[in-house]
Amino acid sequence: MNNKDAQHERLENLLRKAHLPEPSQKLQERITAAAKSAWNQAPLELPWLIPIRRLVASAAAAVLIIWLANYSSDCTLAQWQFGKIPAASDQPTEIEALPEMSYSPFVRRLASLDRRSSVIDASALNEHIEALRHVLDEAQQSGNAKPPEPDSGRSGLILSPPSANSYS
Amino acid sequence: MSYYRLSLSVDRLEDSILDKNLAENELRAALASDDPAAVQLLWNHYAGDLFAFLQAALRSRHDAEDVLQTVFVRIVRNRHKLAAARCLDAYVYRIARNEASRLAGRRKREQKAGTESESWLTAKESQPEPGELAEQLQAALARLPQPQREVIVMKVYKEKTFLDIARLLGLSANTVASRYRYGMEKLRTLLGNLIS
Repeated sequence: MNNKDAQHERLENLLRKAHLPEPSQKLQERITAAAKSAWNQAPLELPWLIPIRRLVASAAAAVLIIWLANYSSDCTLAQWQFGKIPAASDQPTEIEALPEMSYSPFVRRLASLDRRSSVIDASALNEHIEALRHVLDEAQQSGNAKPPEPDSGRSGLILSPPSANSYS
Repeated sequence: MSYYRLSLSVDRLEDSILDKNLAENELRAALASDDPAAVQLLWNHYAGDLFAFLQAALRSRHDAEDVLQTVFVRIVRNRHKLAAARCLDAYVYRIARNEASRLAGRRKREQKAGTESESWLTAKESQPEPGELAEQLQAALARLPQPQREVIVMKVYKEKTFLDIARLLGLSANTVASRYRYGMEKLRTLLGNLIS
């Protein structure tokens, strides 16, 4: 180990027979002038601005990422959402213009049902009740069948069960 | 007697560390207060060592001068970051190393010849045949890998300790010591005829 150290020392002494030049006065003037010029030109970068700038950049990046994720999600799910019904299907089907087919009555019936509003029409219901009442009145007047006495609290349309004597 | 010498060297080391810390604190204060006098302090503190480091890295005095200027301009532009840096020296040497690598890469792309033969080491006039000796030493140093050459130049010509070099280059002292050892072994082989 000592031998190696001695060798290194001799080698260092040999290397020290040469030297590295120091920067010249001219170089010093040139570099300090350039540095002072850069000092005056450089905008004052306040140290407390650095974290704020980083925070703003991070927030902007986060907003951009979220917006891109939403946009991508919307684009992907667009095909699974209800879109606008194509204009051709909005127009009423011309039932009468359908070619004569063996099942055309059934198709017409379906089409008419489809056109009905799902909302209960009160006037139509009243008309229907009036028609039923009219039928019942006619039946009562004709005397073919004597209607049973309506029980209190029970519907007249529900027949009372036949008594045991009626089969005897 | 030896105890006396040891205590003297420890005192010198302590003084040197104190001086270094004082100079560094002064430089930090000037940089933080945006005082243009910091340019001169930067020059006094770094120019000599940085110039040697750059010459070792680039093996060219002219390139070292150019890079030294770029380094100083970059330091001035980033002076607030430098003032807040944990280790001033490591920050400055990192800039110098980056700039040297950039220039070396550019030289390589341009395949500029001639930088190898440029003299960057000067023999002392007292030596017999100084030119020839300098050429031989320079040729031997040029054959070392750059990290080993940097460490040897800083240790031999700037009289830095391994700890100093480790702090400057952001390396461990063991790494620096092993680079030095490997480099010296190679130099011993290359300069064997001159040692004896």
